[in-house]
Amino acid sequence: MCLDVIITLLKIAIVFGFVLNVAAILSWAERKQSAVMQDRIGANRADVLGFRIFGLFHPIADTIKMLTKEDWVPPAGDAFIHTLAPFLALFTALVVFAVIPFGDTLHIAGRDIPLQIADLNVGILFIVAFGGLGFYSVVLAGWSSENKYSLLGSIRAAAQLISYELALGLSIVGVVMAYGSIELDDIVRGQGQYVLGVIPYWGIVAQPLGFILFFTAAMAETKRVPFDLPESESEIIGYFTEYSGMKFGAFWMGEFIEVISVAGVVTALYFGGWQIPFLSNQGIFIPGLFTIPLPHLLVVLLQVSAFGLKVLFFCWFMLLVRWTLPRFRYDQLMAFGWKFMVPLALVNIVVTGLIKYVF
Amino acid sequence: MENLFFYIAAILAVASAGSVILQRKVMYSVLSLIVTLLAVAWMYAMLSAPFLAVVQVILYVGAIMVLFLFVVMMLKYEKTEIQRFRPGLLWCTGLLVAVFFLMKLIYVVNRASSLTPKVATVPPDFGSIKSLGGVLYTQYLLPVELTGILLLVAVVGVALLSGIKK
Amino acid sequence: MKIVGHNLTTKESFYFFEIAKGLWITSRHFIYNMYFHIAHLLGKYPEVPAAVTVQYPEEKVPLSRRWRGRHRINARPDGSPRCVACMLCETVCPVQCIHIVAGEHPDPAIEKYPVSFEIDVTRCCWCGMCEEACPVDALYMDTGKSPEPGFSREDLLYRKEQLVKEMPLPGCQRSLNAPGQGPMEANPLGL
Repeated sequence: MCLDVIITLLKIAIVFGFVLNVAAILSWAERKQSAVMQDRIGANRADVLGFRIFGLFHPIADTIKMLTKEDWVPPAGDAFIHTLAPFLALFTALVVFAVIPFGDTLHIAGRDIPLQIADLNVGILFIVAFGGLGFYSVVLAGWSSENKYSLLGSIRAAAQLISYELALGLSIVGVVMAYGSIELDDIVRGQGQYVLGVIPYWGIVAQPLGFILFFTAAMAETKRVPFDLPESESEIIGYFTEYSGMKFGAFWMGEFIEVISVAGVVTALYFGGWQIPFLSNQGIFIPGLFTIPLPHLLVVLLQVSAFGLKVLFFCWFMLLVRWTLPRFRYDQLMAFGWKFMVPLALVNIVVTGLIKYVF
Repeated sequence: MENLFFYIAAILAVASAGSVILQRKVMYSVLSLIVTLLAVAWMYAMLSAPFLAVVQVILYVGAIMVLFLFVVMMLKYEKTEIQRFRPGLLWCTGLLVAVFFLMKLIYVVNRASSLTPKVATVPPDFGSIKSLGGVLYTQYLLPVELTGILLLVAVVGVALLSGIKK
Repeated sequence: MKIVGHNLTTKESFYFFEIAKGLWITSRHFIYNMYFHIAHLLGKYPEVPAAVTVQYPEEKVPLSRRWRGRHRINARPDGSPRCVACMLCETVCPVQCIHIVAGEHPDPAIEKYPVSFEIDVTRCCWCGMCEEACPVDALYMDTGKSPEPGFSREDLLYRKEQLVKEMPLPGCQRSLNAPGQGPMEANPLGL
């Protein structure tokens, strides 16, 4: 009993430690990566005792700056809700990781430890439900600022989030149909099979269209370029205009955590989660040729690090997209969401159903 | 342990429900209602009905309360609005509703306490999506389909209303 | 107004291929630059730059001879400013950042001298018109310096005493007469 609680707390510490640290590093990586893509060098000035380590002190410097800045609440606004909104942004982005499995069941000292914080049997719906609550942080932030431009910004953001949540949910249905389960653990295990004996049956193989739709909708949910109409750092007044200091920083961190969450969900649903092709519980295994046995702990370690690397790759990829594409116009955004994504997601469901029925 | 969590959820639900009607600001009422719904979802989750809990969060918290929030956001709360109500009528209606629900509550509590608690074993797939779907699409097929048609009509109506250009 | 539209072709209207093309260009830059960044860390190919930017405080691009920086006033051999308080620069200044108070010079050949000469650098728009207007080879913007930040407006008010001490950037000097050296070579007004 006591040990169970300790193990669960340990898992929470590992997962959230990973997510929060990667989120902090992403704020550095975004600047550096955009710089490298644009033939620049990027943030490299933060300097502790003459050490610069490629500007890795910048996240710390940013945090110190934000914590020491004046925290200003609009006098006409609502102080309680104004403070609540950034916490909601962080919470909803972070809680999604509770149901994502990050490794195979670990057998150690006669115990079976599933490497997943909460093995809910409604895993995917949990992601949709709590991911959707991010809406409240946006709306409450805009409303409590008592600034009509913030309010308009939050309405813009809310409309975008609701529109793309539809496409997001519908594109997930395809995965659920392909693997016949709504539990993330089952889906990840289902991706350990092979098509024609050699191709790993990952979500991208089973649902290529679904992957593109899901990834696009999820990028829209993170409110980053090319879907960054709610905030648009440089031009449009967004919902967190009236925020300063660490509360603004919380929105900022929330955005990066959302990026990691999306990367985690994409990995779990479409890129095999912790699965490594041709690595099973017994060791490396090429069907029909040979098997190299490996110790269980090493296999689990490899799988967990494979999950981490896949998540990092998708973080990198989302930053790449963010620094490549220009922004949608608002009417294009809405038309794209409703007239392109939703019908395609429905078509995807029908086609998946037909294929399932035929085979 | 389970009892402790149940009592936390119950207290949270009742307290936030009270807060819905006691708050002076409309926005706080809406937020309290969201907390109530989340606490109820928590209880569903503890009653081994996780699907119901998640659907509660998706539908009520994620969709219906969004509408409430939009209405509250768009409308400015004005003192003159409340003066338009006739206080006498308000009191009478309130009293009637309160008496009705009190009687209902007394009836339910009476019946529940007269029943001997049966400890039934919960079937393993209780509350799972498979069993729920099975029931919905066999036993209650007609109501489900009718609800579907109702929603479709609503969607078409909204599309028609918002598509009209003068 | 003429709106020039571009109708998307069928392939473009799918977005997907165009996005893939764009991602290929940016990731190509990323991979290329990353390769050379890592090579530089290992001490290889130092001659191939991985970035086109200049690391400003450590490296500087050579300034043009015509670059307009902070002002200076040329000095006579005795160290006094060559300015004769003719007010041309004050008049021509489009943002009115120059303020001169004239006084009578003891030397009757010179007539006037600036009792005070202030440039309010917070207003200066670096247009260089004062430099062009100056008839007596006195006001130049060839110091090659940018204005330094200050903690008060007073810090950003450059006075005569300070302006006289400024030196031109070697190689960029626009005045024919070095400050404080010899008689003037060119003097349109014969002063």
